[in-house]
Amino acid sequence: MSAMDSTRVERVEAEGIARPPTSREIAVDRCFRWATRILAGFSALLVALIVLLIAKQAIPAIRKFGFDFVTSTRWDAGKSQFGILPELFGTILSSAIGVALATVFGVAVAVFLTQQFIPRWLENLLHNVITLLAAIPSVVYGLWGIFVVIPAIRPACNWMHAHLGWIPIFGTPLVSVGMTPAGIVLAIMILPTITAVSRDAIAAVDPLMREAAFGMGATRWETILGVTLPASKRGIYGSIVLGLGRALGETMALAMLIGSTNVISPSVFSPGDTLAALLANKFPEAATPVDLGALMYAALVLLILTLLVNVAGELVLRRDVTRLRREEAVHKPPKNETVA
Amino acid sequence: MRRARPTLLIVLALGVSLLISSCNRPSQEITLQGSGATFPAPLYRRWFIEYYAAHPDVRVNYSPIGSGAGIRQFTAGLTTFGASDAGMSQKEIDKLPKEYGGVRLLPMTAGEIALSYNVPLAAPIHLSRSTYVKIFLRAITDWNDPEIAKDNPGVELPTQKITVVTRADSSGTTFAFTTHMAAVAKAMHLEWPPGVDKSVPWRESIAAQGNDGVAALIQLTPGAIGYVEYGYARLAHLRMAALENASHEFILPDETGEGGQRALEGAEIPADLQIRISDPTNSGAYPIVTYTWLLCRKHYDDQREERTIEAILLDCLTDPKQEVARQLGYVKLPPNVVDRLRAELTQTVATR
Repeated sequence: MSAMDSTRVERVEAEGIARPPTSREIAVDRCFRWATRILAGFSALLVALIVLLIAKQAIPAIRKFGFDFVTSTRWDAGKSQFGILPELFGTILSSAIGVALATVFGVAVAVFLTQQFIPRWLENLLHNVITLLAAIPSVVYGLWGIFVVIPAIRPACNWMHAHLGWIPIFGTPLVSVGMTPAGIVLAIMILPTITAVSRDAIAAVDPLMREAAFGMGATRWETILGVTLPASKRGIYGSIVLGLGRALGETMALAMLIGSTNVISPSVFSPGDTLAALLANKFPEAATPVDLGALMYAALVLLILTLLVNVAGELVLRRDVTRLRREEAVHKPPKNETVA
Repeated sequence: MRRARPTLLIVLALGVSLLISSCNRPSQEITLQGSGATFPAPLYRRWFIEYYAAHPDVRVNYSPIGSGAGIRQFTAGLTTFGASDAGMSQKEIDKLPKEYGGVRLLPMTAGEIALSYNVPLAAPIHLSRSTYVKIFLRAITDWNDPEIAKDNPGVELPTQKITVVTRADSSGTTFAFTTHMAAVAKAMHLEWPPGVDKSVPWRESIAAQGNDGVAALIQLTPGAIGYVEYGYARLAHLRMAALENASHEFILPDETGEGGQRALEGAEIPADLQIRISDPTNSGAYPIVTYTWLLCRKHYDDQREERTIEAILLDCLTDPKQEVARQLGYVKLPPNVVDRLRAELTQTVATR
């Protein structure tokens, strides 16, 4: 019975493969190809359209305020004075704090989850738990920051201000909202991104390389730092850039935690403002075209900032790759000689 | 984008028509849509729900999206009525479409703005006129400043920095508060650099979105002081300061709303009903009080819509509905304003 069945299946399959595609299949194939082309083009078009529309609405403000917009510090809609330097500074500082913390923890977690420190099922469980962090809404992070993070870190921050206040970055006390709580919450928000991407990069390192390192007598510590991490550098950089991109644009949680105040202070405990929070706060009641134009200008600056970060990240990655290739090229000849 | 819009519209239209056809069984049902100020939202919703309970064929939706956005949607014809804590400026009125036949600004309720603080004191702190202006100007930066101590004899004031909490978004509350502060500063011969607006550049403050956001931030920040609508401050159980009024009495905002009512009494009612009480002089008046306005067209194309909205608003002016306002932390309208509003609403019914 079963032998007969299998021969029948083989015959049918052989016929199916030999048959030329029907016109219907060709039509479906063509339609599918065009559909993907159109949709792919559409998403690129969408990005271009967003940039163009924002730029178009920002043009009156760009003409009126010029580059002063980026260098002046006052935002007073009543007097039509607009400057976003404090917001630009706050965006960069809060993101830098967030990315620095998230990189340390994210890469450490990624190593922990890939280097057989714990059983496989526990690795998967922990990975899923961390991925779940990405599903928590921004507002919830904001509330959590207000009611949990701030009371928890305030004593430590104020102790640092009291004893190390002569260092400018600890120059003010942490009253409640400020850069540090904002940065900490940002770090937790981008932790899943950094962990997931760098975990994949580390897991993709050829196991032969690790085994070779162990074989040469390297400890686990030496293997991780000397072989695994350098080999997965590119993916880790990529995860940091992705995280930074998310941190720069994060709005709701930061609007709740940053303090929305127009100051530039070197202190990491001082309140400040970010571009995204400024947009969220001022957009709903922007009444005049001048106000709207100024906000669109600010949005454009934020867009350019994220774009620059991504380009910079890409350049770093490329340089890294070309350098690796060059090193390979340098190392190859002696290897060949010994073989010869 | 351009490609997607028509299909999106068709889907939306289909959805809406389905909704309408499914809801429309009692044929004379009418739905009014309003949007605007957040401050009176709890009261408006309560009023409209009570009206719906008594008149099941009239539904009123109100979305609290802020005064400025409310005026914009009303101007664009998206809503039946708007609401604004700051009234409407002449510029905004000029932008209204001609077929509205003009706008009716109706001060439906009023509220007190409390100065809430986060300092553990047994009794409410007393702040004199010059003191609270100087606090918001950052001329006074410590809770144990001699000027605050002078207002509070015998009270042990903590050695703590003052943190000023303000609104991050543009709001009618800020407009009313800065109107009052500018008036007091002028009377005290002080400069008031922030100016008067729905959003002003404060010196050294931390800011949050919405009355509830400011209330939460005050609660969170030791040594904070900020301005919040009384209802929200009460809801968050915040400490509130007794403020010195123009007749040099220290008045606390409270449940009875008496200080607020005193402040509204005897105020001059201008022809456009934009009653401004920047610095009430009555004895017993709480100093920071503001009306909030509902915006209606003078002429609606749909006669039924016009009659319905007038009926609803007349109902809101009745005594039980005004008592509801008081319970929710708003101030009851004084009788002369109620009479004036009633006349305004019935007069147009008569002329038709």
